[in-house]
Amino acid sequence: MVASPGPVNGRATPHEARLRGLPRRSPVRPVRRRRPMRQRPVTRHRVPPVSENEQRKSYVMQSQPDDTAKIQACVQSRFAPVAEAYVTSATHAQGADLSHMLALAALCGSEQVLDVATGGGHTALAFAPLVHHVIASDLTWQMLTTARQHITAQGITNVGYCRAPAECLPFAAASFDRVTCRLAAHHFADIQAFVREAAHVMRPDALLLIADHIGLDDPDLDAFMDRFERWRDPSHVRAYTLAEWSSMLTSVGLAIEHSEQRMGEPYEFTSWTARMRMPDAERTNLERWLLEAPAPYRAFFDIIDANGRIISLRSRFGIIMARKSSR
Amino acid sequence: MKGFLKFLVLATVVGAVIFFVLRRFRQDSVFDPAPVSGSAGGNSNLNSGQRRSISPELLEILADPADKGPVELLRDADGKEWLVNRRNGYRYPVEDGIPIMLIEEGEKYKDESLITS
Repeated sequence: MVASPGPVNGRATPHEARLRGLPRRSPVRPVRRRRPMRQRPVTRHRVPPVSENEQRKSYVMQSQPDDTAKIQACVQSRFAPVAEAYVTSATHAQGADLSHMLALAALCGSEQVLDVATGGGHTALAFAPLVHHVIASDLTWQMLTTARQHITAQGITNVGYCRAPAECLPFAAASFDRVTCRLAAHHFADIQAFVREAAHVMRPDALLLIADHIGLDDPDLDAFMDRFERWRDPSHVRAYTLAEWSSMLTSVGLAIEHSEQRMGEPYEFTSWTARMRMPDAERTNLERWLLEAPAPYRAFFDIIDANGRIISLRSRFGIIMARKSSR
Repeated sequence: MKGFLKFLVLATVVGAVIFFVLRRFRQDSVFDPAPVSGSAGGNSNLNSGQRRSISPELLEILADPADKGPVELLRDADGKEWLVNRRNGYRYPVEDGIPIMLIEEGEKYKDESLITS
């Protein structure tokens, strides 16, 4: 059994200690002035009871001014060692959401595209053959080099790479016709800053396409989903509801033209936990917690088990498309 | 004692060889790539050899992440590329053809002698 650590100062499990390690290449110091968007306190909601020593608070839950740097460090330390796994991950490479994004983007071939937090580079790779040029940006150096290797191996040459946080994009105003961001916004330390920056680099009439986890309107279900997502991946900051997306996008002058949400493809429990290199002890705890979940939760998240082992579960995903006003 | 002396001589020879090879290589790499012109346009010939370079499309729209103003591609005496903000002297490194556009990096390599205003 793992000793339960305090959120920041307490003794950390080896897993958490590794996550907190700052990246080797460049120490991330607090630079953004903004506080992360107001986060709904998870403790407000009634969640299925868990034993005391399974309480595993993640330090990203508090809204301290220096959270951005902490979250960005956490994200980098999580993704750097598993970059390759994200390139080969079937969920990330062939999701139906990706082809749907392409269809929604209504490309004519002359577009300049920015793919924010490109990760394994799948979105950049899918858009590149259909547009003039794609810029793939990511905070994590290893993800960028792995993505570049993967993309150039397919013979694609119209993709440029740039290391930058989603909250502070290094591009001139009105540079892009399409800005994409797939399966990444839930990691951003300051989602409002990302939305503002995206709007800034978009040309008039340009489209922002976001595919990501989507928060649930029911607070109990939302808290449950948040808990298992964050347990498996402490760099999971939050999945925003469609209503939250709508107000964020509207506030920066983007009008939602399309939104949809549905339960995603089932997470196959073993590979889902292995991709993030979840330690055995944590995986066992999460598995036990899921097995003990009350029936309504089991039904909603389609939790399937056999012989006391979790086989799969599902989470909520969606796509949002917003247009910048033409003025 | 004799063995030790032999080792010392061998080590000196090997060290000298490595030193000269490295120096030669460094000289080559300084003069090999085309010089980066002053303007930050995508007109400089950066696609030389196996060196990875920033795509012209990217270079054209790159901006300082802090003030969103233009940056200029410069190469230092070692042949290393930097994206320079002439307004505050911030220098953003280019690693293996990928610009590192983190404000804290630009600040770390700040060079006030590059400010022109």
